[in-house]
Amino acid sequence: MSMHDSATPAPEGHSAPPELPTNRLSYRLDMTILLFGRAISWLWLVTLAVVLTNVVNRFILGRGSIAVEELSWHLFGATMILTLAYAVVSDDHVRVDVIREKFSLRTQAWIELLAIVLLALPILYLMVEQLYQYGYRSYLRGERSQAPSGLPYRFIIKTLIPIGLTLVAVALFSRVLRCSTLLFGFPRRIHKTTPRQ
Amino acid sequence: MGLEQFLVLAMFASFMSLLLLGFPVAWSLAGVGFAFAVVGHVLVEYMAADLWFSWGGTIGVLDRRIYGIVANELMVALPLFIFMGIMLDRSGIAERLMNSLVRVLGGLRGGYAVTVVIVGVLLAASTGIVGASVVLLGMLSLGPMMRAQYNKSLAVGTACSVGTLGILVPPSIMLVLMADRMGTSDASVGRLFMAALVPGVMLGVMYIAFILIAAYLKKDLAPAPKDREPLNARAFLQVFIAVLPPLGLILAVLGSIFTGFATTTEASAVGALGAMLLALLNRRLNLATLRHALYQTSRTTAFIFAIFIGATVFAAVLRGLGGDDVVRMALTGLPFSETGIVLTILLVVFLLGFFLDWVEITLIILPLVAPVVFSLGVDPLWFAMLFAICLQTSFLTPPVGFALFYIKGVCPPGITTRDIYLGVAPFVAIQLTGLLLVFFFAPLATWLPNEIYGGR
Repeated sequence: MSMHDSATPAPEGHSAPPELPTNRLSYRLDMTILLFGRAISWLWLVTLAVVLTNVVNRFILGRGSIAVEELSWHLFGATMILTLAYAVVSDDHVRVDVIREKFSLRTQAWIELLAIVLLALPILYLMVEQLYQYGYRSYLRGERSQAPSGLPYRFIIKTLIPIGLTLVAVALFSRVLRCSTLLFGFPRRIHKTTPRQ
Repeated sequence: MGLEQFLVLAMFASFMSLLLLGFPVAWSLAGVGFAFAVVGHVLVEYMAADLWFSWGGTIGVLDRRIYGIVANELMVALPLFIFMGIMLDRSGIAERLMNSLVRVLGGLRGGYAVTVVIVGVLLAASTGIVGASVVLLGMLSLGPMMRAQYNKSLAVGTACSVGTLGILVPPSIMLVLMADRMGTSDASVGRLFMAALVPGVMLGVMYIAFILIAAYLKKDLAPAPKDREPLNARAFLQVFIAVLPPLGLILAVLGSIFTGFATTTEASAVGALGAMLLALLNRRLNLATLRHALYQTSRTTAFIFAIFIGATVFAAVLRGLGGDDVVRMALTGLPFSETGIVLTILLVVFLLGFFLDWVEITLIILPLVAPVVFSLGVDPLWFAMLFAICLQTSFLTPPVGFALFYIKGVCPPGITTRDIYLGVAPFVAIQLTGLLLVFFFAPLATWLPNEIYGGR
């Protein structure tokens, strides 16, 4: 059975709402993030394998390894944070569309544009800036797991967080451009559709 | 009204307005948090307002808070459970279960709908993702029920409501998140799973009872088919064979958690592997299926954690503006006893459920009210179950009943929104009855976990 993807978490997918037009830059950004997100998704299998390794270790060898256990949440964290932007592009982030669907596409685009520029991008900037510092401090201190047999290089996962959020900001920026294409005709529209998943 | 109360109310109001304008939930939360951090900062620094707000204590601690979301071993279970659910949905187990059960139960009046409930509860237990369960149940059952001349509302109401049991019946990703946010060992994931077992099955049984009684009273509601194959031992054997794999998987996952054999995360990995094996046995596992399941896992996980991050910003600023105290004062200031306060919270959650999803309510409201409620000596497990049933019910309430959106997407033509609303109405009533039962008979939720893990 090839179940079509109506089982998406975002309920608005059911009636194929009018799409924002895209432009050359947005299309490239969106596609890059999409392909990157898909590639990263395979890490879930690795995460699964790591957790299973720990299960096997514990029951066959009689003890789990702290390093492997830590690796499992490192992998989880990395995959989760790096696929956040993917869900922005596929527009999976849940919206309440009772009122929204009554607005024209232009009104929707104005709301989206203003909210992203005035609210979402500034807070993302603050978070990213702080988290880079946080990761950098961790690097300078040579921070490692507090458990003696835990993983070293805590800065890696700490630095991935701001990278993931930067990607989210890029994805949102691309959305702003698409709104601008609809509202002001700039950047110029191209007739391509970004895949939804 | 003091300045703090005003700011807290304004914060919630802005969030709701932004949400209703159609801005995604996660960015609404983060954005409103940012806007009010600026407001608080300006008020304190430039207008000498009487507030405790500090930029460093709110926006300044976000780095640690967000890292805390990532560095959390329990959270690893979330994508793995999600993956397990998606895999099971595609493994073809549900169709098998449905086809074999229908042969046994199909002769009854309402038998098809009862089958949907049974498959739904088993599936619910194994997935815990409402969207997937509702869509799958709808696709599998609506067509045949229509052909069997079932009443449209009953058919669609059943498929839709049963699908929502998924977030209640363990293993459920909602219960994992709730346990994390409540942060008390009295309501660990294992205990919550245990606590949800009895109410979840109870609700399923109530659904079945309703369908049978309604079909018996109104003959044309869910007529028995005229031509059907005679029952034989083979049919029963087929049911047995079809039930075994999903049931075995659920028992393996829950059992290993309950016996303390494995952590929640380990059990979720075993479940995910099991689901893949079942798909393999059913010859449904191929590269395309796997790829789609992985993409879908990313997208579902991303949308939950984006809200998690947004809620972290919102909560940090809300706390900085004195939100915790405002909520505490408001709750303890109510002229009620503890149960009255719990009832008030449930009412608020139910009303919020008209507009918000369980993710937001669990991440924003639960951490605000849970400490207050616990400090009054209310049993965390009992409270958590009431909260959970309330949230599950909110899936079925328009205008933002998510289950309603999902089912709309897979309805055969001829079923209107009105049919859907009418169809879920009796099930909402059943849900509320179930909620009251757990409210008045707390052991429904607390007996099993206390029996297994020992009392508090």
